[in-house]
Amino acid sequence: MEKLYTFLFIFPFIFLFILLIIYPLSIEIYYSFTEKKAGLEPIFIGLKNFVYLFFNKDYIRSFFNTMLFVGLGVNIKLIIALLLANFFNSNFKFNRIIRGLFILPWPLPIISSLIIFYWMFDYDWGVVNYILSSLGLPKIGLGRYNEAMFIIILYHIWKNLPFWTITLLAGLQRIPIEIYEAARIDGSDSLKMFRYITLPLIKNLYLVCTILSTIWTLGDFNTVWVLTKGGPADSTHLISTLAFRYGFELGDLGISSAMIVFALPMIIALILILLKFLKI
Amino acid sequence: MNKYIKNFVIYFIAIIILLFSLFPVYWMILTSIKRYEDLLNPYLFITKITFENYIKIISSPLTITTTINFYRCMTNSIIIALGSVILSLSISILLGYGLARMNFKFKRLVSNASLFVYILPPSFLAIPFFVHMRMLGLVNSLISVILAETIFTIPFCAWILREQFSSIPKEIEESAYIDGCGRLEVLFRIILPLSAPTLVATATYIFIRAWNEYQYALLLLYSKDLWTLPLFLTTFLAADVIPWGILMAASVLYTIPPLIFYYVTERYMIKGLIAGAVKA
Repeated sequence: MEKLYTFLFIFPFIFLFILLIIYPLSIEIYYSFTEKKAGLEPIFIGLKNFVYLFFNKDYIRSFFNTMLFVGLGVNIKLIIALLLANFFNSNFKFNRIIRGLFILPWPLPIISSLIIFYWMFDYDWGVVNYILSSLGLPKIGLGRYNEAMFIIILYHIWKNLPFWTITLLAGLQRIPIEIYEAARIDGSDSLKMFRYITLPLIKNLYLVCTILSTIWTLGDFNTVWVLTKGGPADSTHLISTLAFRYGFELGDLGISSAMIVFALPMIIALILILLKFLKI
Repeated sequence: MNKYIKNFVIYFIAIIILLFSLFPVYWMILTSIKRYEDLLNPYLFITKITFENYIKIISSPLTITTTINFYRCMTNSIIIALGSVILSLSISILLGYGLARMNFKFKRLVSNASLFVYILPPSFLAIPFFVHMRMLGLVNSLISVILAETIFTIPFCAWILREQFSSIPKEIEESAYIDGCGRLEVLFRIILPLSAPTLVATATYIFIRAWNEYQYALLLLYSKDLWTLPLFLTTFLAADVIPWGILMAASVLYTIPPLIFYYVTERYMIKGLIAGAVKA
C-alpha cells in the first residue's frame, strides 16, 4: 500500500521528466552528431559539426558575448543589489513605500518591458536619445555592436535588480541587530560595520545568489531576441539566440544542437559547483 | 545639522533609485495616452491626453503586419497561464510531499533530477522540444506550451513546497492516521490548508512565468488563432512604421494582470519564495 502511494506521488514528475526533458535532450545530443536539415532525415557525420563550430566566427563571438553579458550583468547587478539592500535595511520614513515602488520592474512582464526599452532607445525618436542630444552628447542605438551590448546589459540590470535586492535584504534582516549595537558602542562607524560585520555574514548568501543568477542569465533568450534579434550582422548573439537562429530560422538543426551540446558541459560544471556550495 | 544631511542623502538616493526603476514604466503609460501628433515629441510631460489607442486595441481585430485579434491572444494567454498553474501545482504538491514525508529507494535520484531541470536553461532545450512535440503530434496546440511551462516550473515549486510541508509538525499527521485517515485525506484535509500562503505564492510564480513565456510560444504556436499576447506584441516590431501608441497601450493591458496578481500576493511571495532561497 505504501509503495502504491509513493508511486502515485512521485510518478507524475518522473513521467514528465522522461517525456519532456530526457527524450528531447537525447534528440539534441543525437542531432549534434548528424547533418540534420529541417524536413530531411539526419545523416551521421561524427564530430564534423563541432569542427565547423570551432572555426565559426559567429559561434565564437556568441560565446564571448555570453561571457560578457553574464560576467558584467550578474556582477554589476549583484554589487548594486548588495548596496541597495544595505540602504533599505536602515530606518527611514517611507522605506516600505519606496521599496514597494522600486520592486515594480520585477513583476513587470518581460516582453512589455523589453518593448519599452526598444522604444526608449529608438535612434531617431527615443526619449533617451532626445535627452542625450539635448545635453550635447552623442546618440546611442541598437544598431551598433557596443551600444547594443550596453543596452542589453542595462536592461538586464534594470529588470533583475529588484529581485536580488530583496533577496539580499532578506539575508541582511537575519543578522541579529545586537551585533551592530555592540559595534556602535565600541565606536565603529557604518563603513567599518559594513566591512567587518555585514560582509562576512552575507558572503555565503551572496555567493549562492551569484551562482543562481549566473545559471538563469546564461540561458536568457528574450532580451537579445527582442532588442536586436542578434543583429547588427549577427554580432550580438548569445549562445541561446544563435542556436535558435540556426535551428528555427535557418533550419539547420544539426549545427543548432551542436552549439548547445558544446556549451552544456559548462552548465554541468556550474551544477557541480552549485551542489558543492548548497551542500545538497 | 548632521541629521539633515543624512536625511538629504537618503532621500536623494531614494529618488535616483525610483527614477531608474520607474521611468520606463512611466514612459510606457505616457506613450499610450499621447495624441498621435505628440507621439514623436519626446517631452517628459504632456497636457492633452487621449484614449484612442486603447479604443483601437479594444475594437480588435487590428491589422499590423498581419491581422491579429487582441481578445483571442488574451484568451490564449489566460488558458496557458491557468492550465500551467493547475497542472504544475498539482504535480509539485505531490512531488513536494513525496520528498518531504516519504522514504523510497530512488529519493536522491529524483531530487537530483528535479535539481537538474531547475538548472537547465529552457532555451537550451527549445529546438529539440519542438521536434519531440511534433513527433507526438502536439505541436501548434496550447497544450504543448502548458507542458513546457509545467516541467520547467515544477522543480522550484516542489522545492518550496517541500520546505513548507517539512515545517509542519509530524505529530499532527500521526494523530490523523490514528483516527483512520489515509495519505490523500491527510494531504487534502490537513497539509494543504495549513500551507495556503505558500500555495498562493507558488501559484503566482507559475502564473507570472507562463504569462511571460515567449520562446516556446514562438516555436510551438504557428497558427495565429493560437497566438499569445507576447507574440501579439512582438508582431508590431516587424512593421515598417511601428505604431508606438497602440503598441504601448497593448503593453499596458498585458502588464496589468501579473501586476495585480503580484501586489495582492506580495506578502506571501516575499515570505514564501525569497525566504526559501535565503535558507539555502
